[in-house]
Amino acid sequence: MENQAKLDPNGRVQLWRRRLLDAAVMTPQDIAELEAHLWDSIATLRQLGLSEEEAFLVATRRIGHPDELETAYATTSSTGMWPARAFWMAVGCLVYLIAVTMGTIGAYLTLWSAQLLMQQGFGLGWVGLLVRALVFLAVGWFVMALPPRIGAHARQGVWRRLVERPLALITVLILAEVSLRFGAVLLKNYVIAQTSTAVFGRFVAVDQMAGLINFVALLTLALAAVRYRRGRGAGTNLGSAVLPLVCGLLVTSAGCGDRTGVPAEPKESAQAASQTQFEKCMATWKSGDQDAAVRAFLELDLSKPLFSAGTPLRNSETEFMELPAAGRERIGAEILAELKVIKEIAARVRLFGEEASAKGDAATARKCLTQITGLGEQIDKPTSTVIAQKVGQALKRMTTKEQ
Amino acid sequence: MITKELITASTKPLVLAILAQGESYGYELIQRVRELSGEQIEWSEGMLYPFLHWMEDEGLIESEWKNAESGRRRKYYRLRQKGSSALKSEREQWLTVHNTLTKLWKTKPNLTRTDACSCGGGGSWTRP
Repeated sequence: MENQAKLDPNGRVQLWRRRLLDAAVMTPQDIAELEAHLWDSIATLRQLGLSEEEAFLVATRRIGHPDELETAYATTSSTGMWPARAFWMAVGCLVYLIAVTMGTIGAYLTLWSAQLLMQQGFGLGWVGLLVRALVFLAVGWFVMALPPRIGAHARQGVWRRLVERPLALITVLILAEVSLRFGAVLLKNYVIAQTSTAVFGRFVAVDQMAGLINFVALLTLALAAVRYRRGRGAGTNLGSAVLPLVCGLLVTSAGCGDRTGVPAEPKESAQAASQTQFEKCMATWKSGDQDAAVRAFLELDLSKPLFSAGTPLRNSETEFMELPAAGRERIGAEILAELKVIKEIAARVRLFGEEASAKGDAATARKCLTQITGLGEQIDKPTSTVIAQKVGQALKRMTTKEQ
Repeated sequence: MITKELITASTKPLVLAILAQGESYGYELIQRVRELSGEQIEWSEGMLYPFLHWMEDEGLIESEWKNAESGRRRKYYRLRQKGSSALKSEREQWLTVHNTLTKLWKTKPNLTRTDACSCGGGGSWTRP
C-alpha cells in the first residue's frame, strides 16, 4: 500500500499513537489494535477517492479523541482506570525514591572527593545540597524525555518490553532502589570513616536541609502532574495527580523519620566540636590519660554549664520520667556510667590534692577541694535527676570531711 | 436510527453471531454490522474494542495476532465453546422478545379499532 508508505514518513500515525501512549489505561496491545484499525479505515477512505491527509483526518476523527478513548477503555473494563493509575503512581513513587537515594550518593561522593580540596565542612555541605538538586533536575529531565522515547522505540527495545510488563518494570525499579540504597549505606559508612569528625559534623549540619530539597522536588513533581493533566483537558484526572502527592508526602515523612534515625552517629560527632570543657575532661579521662584529665579539671570554669544540650545528664527528673520505658532504661544506664566517671575523676582529684598537701602545696590542695565542691554544687541542682543530685551531695560531703 | 440502549443491548448477540460465521477483526465487524443493518447500526471503535476485550476476559471469544494480506498485523477474534452456548441462549431470548412483539403488533390494528385503546406505541402501524 503505497499511500501508507507515504504517510509513515510524515509520522502522523506515530504522533497519533504517541498521544494514546499517554493514556494510562491503554496497553501497547490496545494501541496496536487501534492502529491496525486506523490503517484499514484510511485504506478504505483512499479507495473512495479521499486524499492522504483527508483520509487520515477522517479516520482519526472516527476513532475518537484520545481522552474519549481512554474513558471508553476505562469504563468498560471491569476493573476501571485505577489499577493502571495505581501502577503509574507506584512507578512515580519509586522513581522519586530512586532520585532521593541518588541525591544522597551524590552528596556523599562530593564529601569524599571534595574534602581533598577544601577542608571546610560547611562549604562541602552546600556543594552536597547543590549536587542533590542537580540529581533531581537530571532525573526529572530524563523522565520527561522518556515518553517520546517509548514511542520511538516501541516496536523493539527494552522500553516496550518493560512497559508491556508492569510487574517487570516495578521489579526493576525496586531492585534499582534497593541496590542504590545499599550502595549509599556502604558509601556513607566508608566516607564517615575517612572524614574527620569536625568536618563531617559541619557537613551533616548543612546536609540536614536535604529534606527540604526533597520536599520541594516532590511539590514540583505534583504541580507538574496537575498541570500536565489539565493541559490534556481531563479535569477528572486531577485526582490521579493529587494522590501521588499524598503518597509522596507519606513517603517523605517516613523518610524523614528514617533520616533522623540514621545521622544519630554524625550528630554525636558534630557535638564533638561543641563539647563543654568538662565533657572534654571526661573524654580525656575515658581515653586513659588521667593526669591530663585532672589538669583539665583543675582549670575548669565551673560557672559555665557542665554538659551540652541533649546529653543524658542534662535531663531533669521529670523529663527523665516522661521518657518511654525503653528510652529510660538506655538513658538511665548512660547517666549511671557518666556519674561513675565523675566520681572516679573526683576521687582522683582528691588524691591529687592530698599528694599536693603532703608536698606542702596548700594552694593546689585547696584548688582541688574547691573544684570538687563546685562540681558537686553544679550537679546537685533541682534541674538534675535525683540520682545525679545524690552524687553531687556525695561530692560536697567528700570535701567537707576533708576540710 | 436505533437508540443507544438498544445498540448496547444488541452488541453481544451481534458479535457472537458474526463470529459464529468465522473469525474476524474489529474493523471488519463494524463494517459488517453497518452493511447488514442497512447503515442503521453504527458501532464506535471506543465502544467495540473494550467490549471485545471484555468478552475475551469472560471467555466467550479468543484473539490472535495474524498478518493480513496487506502485510499489516491484525488482531483476529474467534468464538469459543462458551461463546457458542452464550449465542444459543441469546438467540432464544431475542426470538422470544421478537415473537412477542410480532404477535402484539399483528393483532393491534384490530384491537385499536374496536376498543379504542390508547396504550400507544404502533398506532400508526397498520396492516391490510
